Order: sequence, then structure tokens, then C-alpha cells
Amino acid sequence: MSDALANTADAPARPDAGHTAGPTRLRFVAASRRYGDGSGVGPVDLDVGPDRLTAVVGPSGCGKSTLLRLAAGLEEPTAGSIGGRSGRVGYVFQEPRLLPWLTARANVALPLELAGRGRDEREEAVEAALALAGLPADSRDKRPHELSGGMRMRVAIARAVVDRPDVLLLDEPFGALDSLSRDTLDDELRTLWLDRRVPTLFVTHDVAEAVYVSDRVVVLAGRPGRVAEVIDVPFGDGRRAELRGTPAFAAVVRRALATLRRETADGAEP
Amino acid sequence: MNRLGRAVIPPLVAAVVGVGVWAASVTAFDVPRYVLPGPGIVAGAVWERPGTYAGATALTAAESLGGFLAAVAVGSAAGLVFAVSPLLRSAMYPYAIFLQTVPVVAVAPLIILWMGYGPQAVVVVSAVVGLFPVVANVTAGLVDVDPRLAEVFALYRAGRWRTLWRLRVPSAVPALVVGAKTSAGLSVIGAIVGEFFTGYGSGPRGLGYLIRASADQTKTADLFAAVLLSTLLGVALFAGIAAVADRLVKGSYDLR
Repeated sequence: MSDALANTADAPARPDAGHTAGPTRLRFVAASRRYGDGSGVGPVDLDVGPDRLTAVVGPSGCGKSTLLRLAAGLEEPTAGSIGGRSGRVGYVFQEPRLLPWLTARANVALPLELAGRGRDEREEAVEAALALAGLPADSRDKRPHELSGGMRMRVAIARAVVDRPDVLLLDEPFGALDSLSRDTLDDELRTLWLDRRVPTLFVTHDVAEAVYVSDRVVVLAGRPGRVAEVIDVPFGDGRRAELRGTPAFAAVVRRALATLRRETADGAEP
Repeated sequence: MNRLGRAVIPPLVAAVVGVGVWAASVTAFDVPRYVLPGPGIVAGAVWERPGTYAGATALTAAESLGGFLAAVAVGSAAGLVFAVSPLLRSAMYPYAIFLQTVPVVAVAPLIILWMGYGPQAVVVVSAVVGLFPVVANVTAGLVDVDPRLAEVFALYRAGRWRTLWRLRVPSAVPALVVGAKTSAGLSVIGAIVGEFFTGYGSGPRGLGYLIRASADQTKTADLFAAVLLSTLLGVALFAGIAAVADRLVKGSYDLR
């Protein structure tokens, strides 16, 4: 508790204080979750540390969301184990999932309030998170129905990071947005992650988005989904939009797509 | 025509036309006054005794409002209890339904026997009639929370009580509004029924008593006046509550 207090108090001056070398790692060890209809995910072995942003791609129904729900502790594995789930989790769902009766500020403050943080600490952390997620100051007292889809997603991202989570999970957060907002948020997500450096799983069905945002792309395929390939993305920390047009970028995308096609042709799809 | 105009002018025109047809029919078919008095005669009955009608309307309005507020308070509290305890819900909810199925005309004399002849008994009858819609809607609103939002609270390991106050209660506000609007109209009916039975006491007299007394004496014009005033009261209470309630939820609940 006192440690968390110290971190948040330091937030404006040294945003990543205390978390740069955080001990948390998310470890899937032969973890699987099966449903009655044969769908699900696993067994999966995957180690997600704070050093690389990890993206997960795969066709719909391969269990990408289930993987995140397992990581968040919203579901339990039917076999195997998952380590590193005891800390705070930041989760961005496919939909913003904001409370419609609260302002953007109050929505972002919710995790702090539920964790019993004090008022002063809350205000400071909320402003910092909103700034980090890029929500303009004049939108912060608006309620969700007064905000655009992209702005709502920014609020959801701010809520996910406001309590300095030990693990960050994003489930196709920008899937419903127009491509322009999406490209912008891809950039900002990358910047945000560089700022926080916590173990992060970014799920998307868009291979190019996965390659652009992450340092490592996990290709999930089959039903139930398994790790078909893990591809390292060699483009360093800072990324620019021009990267998307380079041959090197296209090569990584092609490789992931090839794996997806091969795995899907193997009979996973009916 | 602006929005208010569109909402107000057509019903007003319909009312004028209706009263016109009423007046014309009474004259054209030479209907006896004790069967159907013309609008002029009904207005005259109110004009003759303005104090009686104003007093009766005010009393019935106060009783209805009291009954309505009691129904909302007790109904919301019961809904909360039902939402917190599934055991109590399964044990008690059938009896809440009972409230709706027992004819109020049959129960009113009993309530008056217990509460005494007077406005306090009328308020209770009114509350009993208005209670069920509040209980039913609030319980449903508290229980049927958007599972996606419930998951957000689960993610942050929010306890049962925090989830209740921060998620379930605000989620239930639209349902409370629906229940309250239904209850608003019913509470006037309850008050009128209550007054049918309490009017014989020496206390102040409401519209229900006027309806009954003028029916007994075949004072049809007075009967019409009291019935029309009751109807207007019901509409006014409903519209007032609806205006307040809709403001409460406007815009805030159409999106997740």
C-alpha cells in the first residue's frame, strides 16, 4: 500500500518510477481453458515480461479473448497454470465498458475508488492517466454518450492504466474505430507502453496492427487455439507511421499471415 | 411549431372538440340533466362551490403524493433487500405479487379499520396500490445488471456492497423511473378508493368522498365535476413525476 502511494505521488515527475524493473511476469504453463462445445484455448506456454510488448493475433474463435480472461483471473484454466496474476490488472475490453452515468473523470477514478485510494491521490492519478491516454481537457467532464468512439476508448485506456497495473491486457480495443483513429491510437498505445513498461498482451485480428504496435507477435491458431508461431518484431522502441510502408515491415506481416494461412488450412476451419 | 407546441396543442384542440361535441349532443338529443349534464352545468357546479372542490382536490392530491412517496420509499427498500438476498427474494416475492392481485376495494376497508378513518388511512391505501410496480421494477433493475459492467467490477475485485452502491443502484435508476411513473397514476386511484370508505368520518373530505356522495344523491353534475378533477389530478401527478424522473435519466443511460 505504501509502495503504491509512493509510486503515484511520483507519477507526474517520474512516470515509470518503481515499475521499470517490476518483478511481475505473466507465465502461462501448459495452460488451457476448454468449453463444452470444444472451443477454448491451449495448452499454451507463454512468458510475458515487461521488456517487450506482446501482441496476439489469430482468427476469430481461436481463443484470443479467453487467453486474456485467463490472464486477468476472470476465468480459471481447466488445465495447467498461469503465474503472475496476483497483482493489479489493467484491462481494455473490446467495448469501452464505461459507466454511462459517470463523467470521463469519474470513470477513470473508479479503479482507485474501488481500491480505497484517498481523494487527493485519486485526482492526481486520474489527471495523469487522462493526459497519458490523450483525452482533451474539455472532454474530461463529459459523460460517455457525449464522447466519440475514439474518445470513449481513450477513457477506457486511462481507466486501465490509472492504478499503475502490474499487467496490461487489451482485447481488440480499436477494432470498432475508423482506420485514422486506430492508427493514432496504435501510436499512442506504443508510447504509453514505453512509458509504463509492464507485461502487456495486445490482442488483435489485424496482423499489420500487431506488427506495428508490438515487439513480439504470438500467432494463435486452431480450435482450441494454440501458439503456432512467435515472431520477433525488430523495429526498436520508437515507431513512425512510415514504418508501415517499408519492405521490412511487409516481410514480418507476410510471415505472420503465412503462418495463419497454413494453420487454418490444416483443418482447424470447417 | 416547437416541440412543446406539438406536445400541448393537439391534445388541447382534441379537448375543445370533445367538449364541443359533448355540449352539442346534450342539446341536440335533449338528454336529461341527471343522466348527462352539459359541460356548462358541470362547470357551474364547480363555480357554485369553489372552496369545496379546491379543498377536496388539494386533499386528494396530498394523499396521493404521500401514498406515491411511501410506495417509492418502501418499494425501493424492498427491492434492495430482494436484490441483496436471493433467499429473501424467493421467500417474499410471491407475496409482493399478492399485493397486485388482491383487489384494493376489498382491502381498503380493512386498512381503514386498522388505521382509523382519516387521511392517514387513505395514504396507506394509496401506497399499497402504488407499491408493486416499484418493487417489481427496482428488483429487476438491481438484479439484471449489464454483465459486461459487472465484469469490470469483478476485475477490480469490488466487494458485494461496493458493487451494490456503485453499480447496481445506479443501474437500477431507469427501472425505478418506470416503476415510479406507473405508481404515480395508480396512487391517485388508490387515494380515491380510500376516500370512498373514509368519507363518512368527520375529517376533511376529498374527491373520492365527493364522487360517492354526489352519486348517492344523483347530483350528476357534481359527480362529473369530481370525476373530471380526479382525472386531471392523475394526469398532473403523472406528468409531474414523469418530468422529474425523465430529467434524472436523460442521456445518461442510453449508452454503455
